[in-house]
Amino acid sequence: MEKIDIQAQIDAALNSLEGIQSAKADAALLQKIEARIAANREPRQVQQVQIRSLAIRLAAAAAVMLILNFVVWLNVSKHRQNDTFQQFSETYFGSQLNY
Amino acid sequence: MANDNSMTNSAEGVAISFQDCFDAHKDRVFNTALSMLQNWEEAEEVTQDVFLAVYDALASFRGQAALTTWLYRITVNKVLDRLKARKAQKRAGFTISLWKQKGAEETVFEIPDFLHPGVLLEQQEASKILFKAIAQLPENQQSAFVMAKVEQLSYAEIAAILNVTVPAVESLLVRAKQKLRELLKNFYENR
Repeated sequence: MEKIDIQAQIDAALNSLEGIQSAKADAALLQKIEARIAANREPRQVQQVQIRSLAIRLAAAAAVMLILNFVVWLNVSKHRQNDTFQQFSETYFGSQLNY
Repeated sequence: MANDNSMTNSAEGVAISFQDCFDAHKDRVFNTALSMLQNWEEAEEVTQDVFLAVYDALASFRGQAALTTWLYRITVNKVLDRLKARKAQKRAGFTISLWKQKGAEETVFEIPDFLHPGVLLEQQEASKILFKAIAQLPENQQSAFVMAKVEQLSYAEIAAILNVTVPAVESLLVRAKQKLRELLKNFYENR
């Protein structure tokens, strides 16, 4: 008797979702989502600005390095050219060049 | 603000805005989350998470899957993440209580009563017990059972959402019912 009773209770529980209606979401949910979207967007914008300024600084640093490199290269090559002329003069004329 | 984003629903081939998507599917997403999590606040949070993910993915949504299938898939994944986090929290609580020793016996992992607002009045008591049993099912069986019985989706729809075959869904539901019968039997015998 008790076994039949338990079986009936199990069946009743298993069938208890018949005719279930959908739960309704809170009407204010969209506002909450929009607030979260806005909150997520702000740090992203700040990050983008920071990344852009860092990129500009890096580009400026790279440009300065290139200019410095070019100046040093010009100087060194000028000296080398002078050295070459001096060597030529000493070898063929036995004296240094007088400018 | 959110209205400027739009996507194409592959089934209908029309562009719909985020607002339209939210209005059409919010209850579906919330109902699934609520039935699986059995907690109002967490279900609301998951619904928010789902629509935030939808908002971010609007541009990349190419309409390979129907919009509803895609939404259900995101919802189930977010809910399962929550359930995993909840389990991890319980494990951490149990470990702490073991360290404290005194509190070890106090840690009882009781599932609170949950009453789904859509259940018919005469079936409310039985449904509370059923939801307790549903919470103890393995994750995939739980997802399949909720989608079949609460959301009343077809096997084909559930298969598309869970990315499995229709026979696999049938098997999941058979095993879920068997497990539920066992759990309910235990409950009624020891009451």
